[in-house]
Amino acid sequence: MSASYKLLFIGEPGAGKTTCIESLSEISPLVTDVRCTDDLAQVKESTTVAFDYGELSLGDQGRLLLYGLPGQGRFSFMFDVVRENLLGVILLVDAASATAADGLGETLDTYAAAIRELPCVVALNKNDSPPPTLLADCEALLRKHGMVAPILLADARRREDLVRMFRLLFTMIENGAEPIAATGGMAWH
Amino acid sequence: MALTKASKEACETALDELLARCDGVSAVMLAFRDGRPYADRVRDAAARGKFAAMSSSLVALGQSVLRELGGGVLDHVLVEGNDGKFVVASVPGSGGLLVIAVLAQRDARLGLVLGHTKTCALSISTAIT
Amino acid sequence: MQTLRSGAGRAGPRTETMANPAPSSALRIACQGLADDEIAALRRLLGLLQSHLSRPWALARGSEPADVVVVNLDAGRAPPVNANAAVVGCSTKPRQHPEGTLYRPIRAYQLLSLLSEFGSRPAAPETVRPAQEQACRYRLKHWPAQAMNWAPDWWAVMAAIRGVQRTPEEIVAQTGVPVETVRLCLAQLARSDALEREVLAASAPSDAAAANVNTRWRALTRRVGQVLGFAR
Repeated sequence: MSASYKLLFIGEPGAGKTTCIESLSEISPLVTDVRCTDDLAQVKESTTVAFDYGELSLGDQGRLLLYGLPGQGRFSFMFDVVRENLLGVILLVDAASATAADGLGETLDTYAAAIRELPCVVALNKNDSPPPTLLADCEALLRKHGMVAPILLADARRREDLVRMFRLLFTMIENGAEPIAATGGMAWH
Repeated sequence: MALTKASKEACETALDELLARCDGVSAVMLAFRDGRPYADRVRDAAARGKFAAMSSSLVALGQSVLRELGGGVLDHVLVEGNDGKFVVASVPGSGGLLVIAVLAQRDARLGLVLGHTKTCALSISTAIT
Repeated sequence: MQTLRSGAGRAGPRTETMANPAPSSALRIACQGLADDEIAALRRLLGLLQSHLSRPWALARGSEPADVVVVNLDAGRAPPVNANAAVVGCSTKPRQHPEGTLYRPIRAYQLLSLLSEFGSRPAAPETVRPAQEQACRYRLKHWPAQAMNWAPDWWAVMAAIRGVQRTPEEIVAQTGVPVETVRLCLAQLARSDALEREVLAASAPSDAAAANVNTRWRALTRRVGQVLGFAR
């Protein structure tokens, strides 16, 4: 059986997780979106309540399994679904939202402890010219949660931006790992 | 369909009846489809939010799996462990708005739990329409 | 992209040529992504400002190393920058970029301020050469915003010290990046206040034996690069 590696897309509702996975997946992705019932319904029609799932084949190197998890704190238990063999994280921010920093804050409150050691890239999505304060706010949030991660502008609908995200993330994956010889797994420092 | 104060009280009555009539049930949750609690009889208040979220996740996953595999419309999801069982289903007549979840002890009779869960779901459906 | 108000060494990007060769002691400024008329305007500005600057400045010629590189942020995706020099962004909307971004077309007062500040720093070995390393281990404190325009080799160095301390030799072993590039990157990170440094005891061992540890991840990364189109 070929190897499989997980990549995780997380972020507030509307940040672009489903779009990223649909853009990259070679299979028709599994999507568990439902219509919103709270204030979120005013800005977004649906939200992920379990996970989105897609795949990218790597030939003899195995498969990349692409998971999208909801960013709301009440779904933090879903992380157990993806914990094993998780290579890295793409943290999406809806940079077009007036509450973008709050969304990132909730996502980090939910997941930072679990992903802090992993290679992670923060992508400001849906806005080619976000306010400079957003970048500063995101940097402050990362520092607050003890995370060291690059922040880049990206449009999840543009393949070249997704490729740039992946190039950066895999540079971090390739150069940041240390082996654990006894188990054959990898430790992320 | 309307979620009024009166309908919520009626839903809570239905949850109480399920607890009273079905031996071995330890907690009941009526949650919105996006994982927020609506009404419940859950002892541990701190676990309420997660209980609701897990319920909605299971229903959504169950619906997605059946859709992908051509299995039709979801009836219920059953999770059975050596120390308990968990049944979750969408409430009929709610347009998919609500899900009901029942946590029962290991020795609770599955048929009874399923039957009472569906009876409760029908009562809730009546209360909100 | 933030302005790096320090010199980390000399870069060799493709640059404008000058009719008259600059004095060998001149500091050099290069530009990337600017149109010919903008480069010509910059050359004229340099000529006008020379009498107000404490040190001579010139446009870098050909592959001459530069002390400052001005990058056009409006030119879409930033071209690869040999980030051995201080990098300054310019834009028609500088307020949409980090503090210190110049207006484009470049204004005389901003250029004067930039070159005056840079030129007033006392010449010290580390400002023109990579920092000569004592026995130190380094760890990345944060990922500087301007690093998005740095070369992928520099990302590799940063990845190797994200969350763990490593000596330059250990970084070389982990990443395969040449030691001089590692040192330049570390020096630039230090100037960006993005680096933690721990001086090692003289006898502290260095674990540079990790050369083969990430072969598996290298192969995986190469395959992902082939599939997605960023293969080196």
